Amino acid sequence: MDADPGDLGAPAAPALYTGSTTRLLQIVRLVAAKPISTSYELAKALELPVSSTYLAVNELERLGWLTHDEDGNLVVGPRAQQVALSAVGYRVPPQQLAPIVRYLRDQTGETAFAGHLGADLRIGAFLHGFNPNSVTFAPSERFGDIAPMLDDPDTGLRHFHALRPAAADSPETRVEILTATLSQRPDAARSEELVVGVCWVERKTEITGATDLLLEVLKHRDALTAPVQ
Amino acid sequence: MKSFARIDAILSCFHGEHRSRRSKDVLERCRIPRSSGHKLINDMVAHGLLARGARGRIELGAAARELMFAPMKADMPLRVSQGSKLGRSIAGTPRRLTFDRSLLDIVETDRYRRTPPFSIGFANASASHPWRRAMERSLRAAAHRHAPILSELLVTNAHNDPEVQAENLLDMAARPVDLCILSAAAEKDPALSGAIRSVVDAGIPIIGVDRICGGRRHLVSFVTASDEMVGRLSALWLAEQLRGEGKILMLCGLQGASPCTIRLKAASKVFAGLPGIEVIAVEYTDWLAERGYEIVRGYLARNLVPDGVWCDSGLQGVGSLTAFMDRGIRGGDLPPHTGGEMNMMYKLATTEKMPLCGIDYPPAMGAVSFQTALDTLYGRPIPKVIECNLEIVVTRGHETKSVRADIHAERKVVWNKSDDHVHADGLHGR
Repeated sequence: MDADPGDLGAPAAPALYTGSTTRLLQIVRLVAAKPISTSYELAKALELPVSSTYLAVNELERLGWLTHDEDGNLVVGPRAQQVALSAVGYRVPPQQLAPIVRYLRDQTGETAFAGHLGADLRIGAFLHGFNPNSVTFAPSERFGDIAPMLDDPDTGLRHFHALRPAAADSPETRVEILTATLSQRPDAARSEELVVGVCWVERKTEITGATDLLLEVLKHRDALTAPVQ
Repeated sequence: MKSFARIDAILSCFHGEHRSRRSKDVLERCRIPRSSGHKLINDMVAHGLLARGARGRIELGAAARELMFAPMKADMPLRVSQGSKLGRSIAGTPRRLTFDRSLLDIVETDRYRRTPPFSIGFANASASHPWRRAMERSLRAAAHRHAPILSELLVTNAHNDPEVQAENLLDMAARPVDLCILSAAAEKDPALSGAIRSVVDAGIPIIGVDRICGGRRHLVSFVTASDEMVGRLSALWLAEQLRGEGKILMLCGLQGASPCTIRLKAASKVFAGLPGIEVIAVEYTDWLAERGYEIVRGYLARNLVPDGVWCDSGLQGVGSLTAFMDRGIRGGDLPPHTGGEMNMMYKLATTEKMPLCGIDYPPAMGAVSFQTALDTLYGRPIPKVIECNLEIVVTRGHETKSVRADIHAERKVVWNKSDDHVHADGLHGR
């Protein structure tokens, strides 16, 4: 079975009690990696039986692991994102991140995201920009070796330059990333933060507008502590 | 499929201060038998969803962290690249005026928790035009996918009469249903407001969708898209198409419906700030193509030819364009129009090569409201306001300084679908 479409580093399949864990991860990883609108497409891509895939998708949708975007494509649902946020140590409901990401994208036209900033920057929920040459992220994209050019502890803003290696469908690219810290993990040994930000292809540009936007968003940081689960 | 629910329940045990737990405690908490539960945990550990810690404790693993990656839209818009070094131009005007803090409000729904199968009522304002029918189809399709946990989906049609809708709601409360989804027939009406209060007093939660009556206070959640953005950006585009000068006819939807009011207010504010723009009339079409046609035909018959037509939806925009074309005005002579969603709008604009800006207000919010209803009945936290994504569609070559397209109309149009196909209904991948 072609088990890992997103190449997300899953271990080789061991002897299992049930195939449900495998199937859940396969489905969630695939819909995160490419547009899939029907259970049939999903079943074909994963070489699974159509009928059981249909039932699996409906069940995952009921549980909040999958949802649909406005075009009818399946996308990763809030429950999966909540599990991921809990795994990296945050109690912020993922539904609170979506409107912030959308706002940043709408205002800047660039690709906006929520992410986890620790030793590297791990991209979470994101929305593609509508500006020319907007950045798209590869499945489970992380940015390592990034040292901020700007790191303002007073405001929580950081400005990075990063190099994205060449891939099959894209050349090597330098990008800029501007982040704002929404929440810090109090128990972490080193600085680990939940951030929102904007990413664009590097160019000579004035970033004041984006900086002001992120500062505006940070004014609402106190609303991100609502209880969840 | 029981295993998915068990996997979800096990993963839900880890949050906040409970970052690791003993396997035994997790299984007891999830009410999973120990024999099968331990085997399932072994599976989850093998896949990295869980990791084993010290002294038999388990915690969320690396694969759980990987779940963070989540595109909010699966398909890419017009100009996304895989990192090409092509030049770029400056973005247009910001799409929103301010950040709406109410979008961050989260509601606890424990008190509405019920055991499936659920009985859900949908009080639709009307099914009088293609958008409303598409929204209803979207909701019904979501309900169909979840048939195993649904005992009843009761759908009523108020024909835009708030008194009829008030009766519909009271009937739903009397059955009783577990939850009502309401798309309000009027934004202000004493009978409908009274019925909403009665339903809420009976302990039945209400999820609003698209249209609202009397504010959000009585709703558990409201599913919508930014009507302010629809009105403001479409008006801005039209004014810029006309280089800030010209006579504009405004064709609104249904008077007294909240989306219509908000869009008109936002658009009027834009036009009022431009001294060269003259609004020759504001007309209401009930979002019907035939009304749009009759109104525009009347103006043209009197030789009152507007320089641009602002429509708050393509529903009446189709009628307006048809009236111009029946009058022999075609191609580049057609005045710029606004109004999205309708496939025919994009077909006509593409065929005639005329300037159009459509902002697709997604009927897929029907399905979103149903999912929100399920989340409520399962007792999950939900946002107080859920905003769906809007897509800006502009004919090629007609983007303006402030308004850039997510997608060109030429790519958006679906030639093999009917004229009254409504885009963004959530039922078809692009």
